[in-house]
Amino acid sequence: MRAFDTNRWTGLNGVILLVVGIGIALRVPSLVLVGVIGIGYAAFTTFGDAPEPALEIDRTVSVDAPDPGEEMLVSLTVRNAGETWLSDLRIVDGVPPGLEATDQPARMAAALAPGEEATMQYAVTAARGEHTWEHVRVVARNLSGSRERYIERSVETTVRCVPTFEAGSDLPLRGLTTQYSGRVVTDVGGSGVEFHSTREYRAGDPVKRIDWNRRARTGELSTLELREERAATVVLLVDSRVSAYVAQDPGERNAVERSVDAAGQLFTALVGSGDRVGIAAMSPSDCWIAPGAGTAHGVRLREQLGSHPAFASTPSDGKFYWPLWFNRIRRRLPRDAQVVFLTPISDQTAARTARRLDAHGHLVTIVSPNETGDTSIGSRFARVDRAIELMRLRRAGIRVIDWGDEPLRVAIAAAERRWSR
Amino acid sequence: MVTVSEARAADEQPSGEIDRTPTPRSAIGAVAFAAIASAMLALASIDGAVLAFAGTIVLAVGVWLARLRIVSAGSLLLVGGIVAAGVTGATAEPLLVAAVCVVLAWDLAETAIELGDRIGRDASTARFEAVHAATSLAVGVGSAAVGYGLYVATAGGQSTTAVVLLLFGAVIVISAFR
Repeated sequence: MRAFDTNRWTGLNGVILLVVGIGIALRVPSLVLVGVIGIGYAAFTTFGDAPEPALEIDRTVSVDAPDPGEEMLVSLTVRNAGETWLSDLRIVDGVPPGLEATDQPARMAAALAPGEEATMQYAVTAARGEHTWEHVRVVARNLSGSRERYIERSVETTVRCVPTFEAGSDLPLRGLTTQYSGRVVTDVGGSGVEFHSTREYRAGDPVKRIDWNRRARTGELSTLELREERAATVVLLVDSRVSAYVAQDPGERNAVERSVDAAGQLFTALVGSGDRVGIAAMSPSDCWIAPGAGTAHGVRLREQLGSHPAFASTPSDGKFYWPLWFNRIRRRLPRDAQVVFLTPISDQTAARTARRLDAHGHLVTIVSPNETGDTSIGSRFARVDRAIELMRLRRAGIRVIDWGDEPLRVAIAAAERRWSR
Repeated sequence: MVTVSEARAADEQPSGEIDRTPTPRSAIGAVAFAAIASAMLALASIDGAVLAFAGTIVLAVGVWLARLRIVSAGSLLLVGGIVAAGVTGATAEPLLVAAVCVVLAWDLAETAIELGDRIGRDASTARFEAVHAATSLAVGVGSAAVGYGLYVATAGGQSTTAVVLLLFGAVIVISAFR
């Protein structure tokens, strides 16, 4: 980039003229002499243009694949590869938007002789997702700081942080199931554990299921029907539109981060119990993994949750068109899939999506991280607004888990109590 | 609810994350040089010293508050002190030292504020500040030496006019540079 004036020494000439002028007018030679110093500095400011720095920049990160919350040490080494002195360099490293330098700023001021190098170190706390460093921004000035030049250098560094989701939050599923056996108790009679009904004996019924008590009492053969336990197909749908990136405080974990965390916990439990699990995002960037089962599928889900841009801790770019997105997701959802929708319900669109999915026959359970506060009138209004929206959804027959600050399993247990009543 | 994207959009690091107060070394250096300037003027003239002392305090306040305008006002008061001392008949030597110190004080104060704002107080800036201060000091000492040499040479008989003419010559040379 071209160099430009910083206007740092503006006014110096005026002061010189004033002092020398007073010296001449009042015939004070010592003041004229003082003017010489000012002229010295004025000459100094015209000396040399801002250098065009020839820099070799190198960045190393202490861990390539950190766990979430782990401290990474980043060191940026800048070497003056040119022949000129770089007396005034200000260097700002392009820390990825999802990460933050914690103990020291990712900035440095340096003065480098030819061949010399300077290193800055800072720590960042790893957050889930894939993070790529942006340009290193460098401002170079000449010796007096009167001229300045701004350049950007790109240094490729990418860090992937895939979390290990803890299993354990067992979400009670709704009664929309596949033909495979699993753990969702259905209203279909067959083999199982829980009593369902009795019916007339038909040839070929297993001997174990014959109701022998009744046979002894009445002499008739009848067969016990038990509630069949089947596997469900579940699609975990994460709301990660820009409006879902809400948090009680700007520094805290936002609703999308919590939703993805919850999705991780849920899918681990679901895959473990033999259900077929898929993942989708309600987001500008397209993300869809069809429901499946097995260890390999679980690994794929984990990878996707950990590093897909739709699940990043900052909103992904692009515009979100709800009708297009909804048509696509509706075509993709298997007929027997139920949807676990993770959304903070920050606007009408989220509620509308839940209702429409429910209307299309996919039973919907909403897990909603509550990020409304009560610090201002606005946030209290948002809280009431959300509460009313949740009430409407419940009235429409959609299960809602209102998830505050407590662990997810506590929220699920609380909601379950209400459902069974 | 706070939309996080908005809060983060302004800068990739939320403001408040970086301590943007002036860097301590240059700030202390600036106040020290201003104090030396006042002390030098106190050797020569009381009137000048009073003005310069006021200027030092204003400059210190300006650095403390990280306000460049207040720093400039303080520096102008210090220059006023030099002029007052010169008018009331101070000798050239303390004035020269005071003038170099005033320019340095302003330069360091500006550096402290600007570095604090752009790089942050906690970043590593020690070597940079040392190089910067040393260069400015060298320029000041160099031009003071040249000026004093001229002064001694011309004080032997020629009038101040000779000095002034020489100065104008210098000014023309500098304008040719630009």
